[in-house]
Amino acid sequence: MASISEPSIRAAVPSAMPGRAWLRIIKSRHLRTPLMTLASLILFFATWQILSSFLLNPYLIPPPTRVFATAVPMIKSGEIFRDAGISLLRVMIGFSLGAASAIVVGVVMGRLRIINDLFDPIAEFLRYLSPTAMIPIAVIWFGIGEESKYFLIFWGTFFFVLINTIAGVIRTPAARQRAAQCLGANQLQIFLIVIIPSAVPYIITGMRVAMASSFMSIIPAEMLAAQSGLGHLLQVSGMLAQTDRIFVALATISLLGFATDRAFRYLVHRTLHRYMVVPET
Amino acid sequence: MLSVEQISKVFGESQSGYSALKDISMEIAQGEFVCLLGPSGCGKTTLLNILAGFERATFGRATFNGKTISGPAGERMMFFQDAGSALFPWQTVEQNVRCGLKLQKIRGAEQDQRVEYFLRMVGLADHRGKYPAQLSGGMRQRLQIARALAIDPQILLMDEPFAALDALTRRRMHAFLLDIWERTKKTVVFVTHDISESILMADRIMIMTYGPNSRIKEVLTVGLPRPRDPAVPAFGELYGRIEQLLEEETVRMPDDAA
Repeated sequence: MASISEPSIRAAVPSAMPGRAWLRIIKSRHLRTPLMTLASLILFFATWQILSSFLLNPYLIPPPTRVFATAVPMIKSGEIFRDAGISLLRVMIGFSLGAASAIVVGVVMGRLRIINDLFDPIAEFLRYLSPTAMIPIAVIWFGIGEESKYFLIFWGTFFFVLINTIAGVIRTPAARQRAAQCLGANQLQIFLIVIIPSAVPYIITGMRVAMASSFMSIIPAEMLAAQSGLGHLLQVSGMLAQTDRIFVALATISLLGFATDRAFRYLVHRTLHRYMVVPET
Repeated sequence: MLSVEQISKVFGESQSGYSALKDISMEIAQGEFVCLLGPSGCGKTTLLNILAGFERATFGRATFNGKTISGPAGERMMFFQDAGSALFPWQTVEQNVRCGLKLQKIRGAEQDQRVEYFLRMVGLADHRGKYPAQLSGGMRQRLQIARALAIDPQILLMDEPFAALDALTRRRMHAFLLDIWERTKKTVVFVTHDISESILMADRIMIMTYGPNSRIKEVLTVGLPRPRDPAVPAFGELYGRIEQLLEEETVRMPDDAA
């Protein structure tokens, strides 16, 4: 199993994430970071404003001021919140179901060789089917109601979390399990007090990747098979060639994804902080 | 009494596999400090794993006080070189010690007393709220020792526990371990490839041959009084003798293993 999943596992290990060390250095300079963020945003919006006002066709790329002007009535009427809320709810339900079942299956697969050998080949094939690829069959199976969206997000979440959970379980240091055995832990206790806590950083990493993927999956799902949500808003605006509304929808998706990830990180920091020890090896 | 009777260990198939240990026998008395000394790849750790019950001997058996060793138990406590991975990094110093006691179902006042006693013994009482990642290498080793001693094991199986520490910390850990050993009279089986370390610590040094088919080449009794001084001539003589015995083994090693 290790030979097949090795690259994907490595990519998901927190310590092996490229750019992590770089991020930490930037972060350590308390004042610099917010300033740089602010500068980055100002630069981005200013360039965008100038380009679309003077150089580009403002119909194709509406300047930020116009996007903002379009957003105001959408915010006031609550339209944007309704769509964002529906998309977010779908993501949350599908994501929770997907992550929860992947953790259970992953822990069992990581621990029991025979289960792993039995299911790993299946997972290896299925994980190449992106949620988008599953839209037509999901609609046939579940209709265009909420269930098909839950299913698609579930699908997109499951494999990311599964692979990371298995990696976390497998990489629990042997010395830690053996030390616990010497201290008198039985198999169940080793499972609960050694293996699962040791796998937490991996599981969390998988969940964050899956969260980002969920936000990417919900949009095509809603574009093709929904009467509401941000994807639907995009689809309708596209058909009516309302570029300013498209930009509002795009900005909302970015903000929503970013805010959710931050909220998730904050929650992890508050509740699971002590388990988030980056593996040394 | 810890007794090893004609143990052989083969990894893989008994015919075609790798024969790590061949016909090893030894007896270690209660309260004795024994070093297993040998080059890397001589099966010291394998032997220790068999004594701990993590691995089974292919032939022969190991017994403790007459009972065959068939699995890990609190009476035979293993110490790992990498204390960082043996400890629970999500628990504080105090919680690590407490966790072993909980697993042994030692509760209430008894638990509190032991946590206090052993944290103090290893000098970590002032660091009880820290996490292992916040400790130095030597402190982590001391925490591993405290966590283990708190459940009152009878044998300490130590797999090069100080090999990863710097020379100064290592010397302090030697003195620390000897002090604990003298006070508690635990049996210690200490694996090392460091000759000085073995002479400094052990009652008896068992020198193992290079694998495959490792066996005990020679057992030397260190008659020197403690605390031992590496500067005395007897220390040097013993060192020279062991070095010569090991030299014969390293000659047998393939070039890429040396």
